[in-house]
Amino acid sequence: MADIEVESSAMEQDEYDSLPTTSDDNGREGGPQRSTEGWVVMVTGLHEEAAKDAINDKFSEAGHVRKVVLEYDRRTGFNKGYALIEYNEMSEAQTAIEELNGTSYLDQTIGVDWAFVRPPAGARSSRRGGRGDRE
Amino acid sequence: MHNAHLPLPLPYPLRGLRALGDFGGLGMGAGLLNSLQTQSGGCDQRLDVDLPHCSLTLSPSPSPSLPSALDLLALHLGLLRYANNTHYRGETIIRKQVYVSRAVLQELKRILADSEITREDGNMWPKPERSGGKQELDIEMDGVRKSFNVSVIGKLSDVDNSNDAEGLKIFFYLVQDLKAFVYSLISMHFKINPIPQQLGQA
Repeated sequence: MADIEVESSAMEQDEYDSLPTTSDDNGREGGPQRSTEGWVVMVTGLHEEAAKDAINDKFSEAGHVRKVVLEYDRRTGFNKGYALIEYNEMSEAQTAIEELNGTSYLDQTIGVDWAFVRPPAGARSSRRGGRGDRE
Repeated sequence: MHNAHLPLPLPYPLRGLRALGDFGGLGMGAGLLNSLQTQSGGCDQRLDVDLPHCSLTLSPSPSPSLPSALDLLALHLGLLRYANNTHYRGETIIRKQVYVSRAVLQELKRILADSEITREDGNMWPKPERSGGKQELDIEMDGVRKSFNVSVIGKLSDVDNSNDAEGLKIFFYLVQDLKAFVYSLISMHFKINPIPQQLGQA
């Protein structure tokens, strides 16, 4: 079994997979990046007792929610305060951001923004494009 | 500045990142920062020096029953990298990277700040055994940099029985929270299930 040092040096030679950027937006560097199956927004500032179902309902106002990821604080058992919401269409995610960012939900101000962005200007693009689907 | 091996703005080598072999990435980061500083506008992802840098390296104790595996999570200048280096049952090595938004970086910073991990020094915590597994956490934020190198913690009761149990408990839970944070992002973006390690699972 290879020891860790050998593993590390083997990894040094390799690239990391990333998803190819699509032409969904105007190709702006640093703009939103599509994920494998849709567009993901990052929600922050959630009330610690907010439940996944309620979050799903809330964010369904902006469009069809494909998936909600809500993590829990391993110590307290409450949610950690953030969630990831996935929509099919960029326009739906954009709507969620425009309409819900900075608004009050369960008596707390939530933040809603893109989770993933295109490589900023000056970033070298990866040689390995990854297995991302465009559609 | 065109050299890919620029000295970084960071005052210390991020060993977790170096294990990822990200010389190009680190060089890219410094060049990137440089290019953004000269840009007058038009880029949403303006990088400020107060963004957190974080890397977490998890390697389990080698044993015949537990295959060699290595989880590497690193976030540097907005680039999130995840690597799982396992050969268990022919599983392929997973290496993924994605640029995350300011919102994600600020949430990471909040998680780190709320944990108050930077108030700990970790000197009393169990050091990794020479041939054993380890958990290595390197953080830089708000001008404070911390590096923790701790042995594998099997379960919560191991924490209670150690010196500086309160501090170690903070580390124990933070590692779990950081793993959850990174796994969520990576699995949501790439639609894969990062293989959670046995380490630190309560």
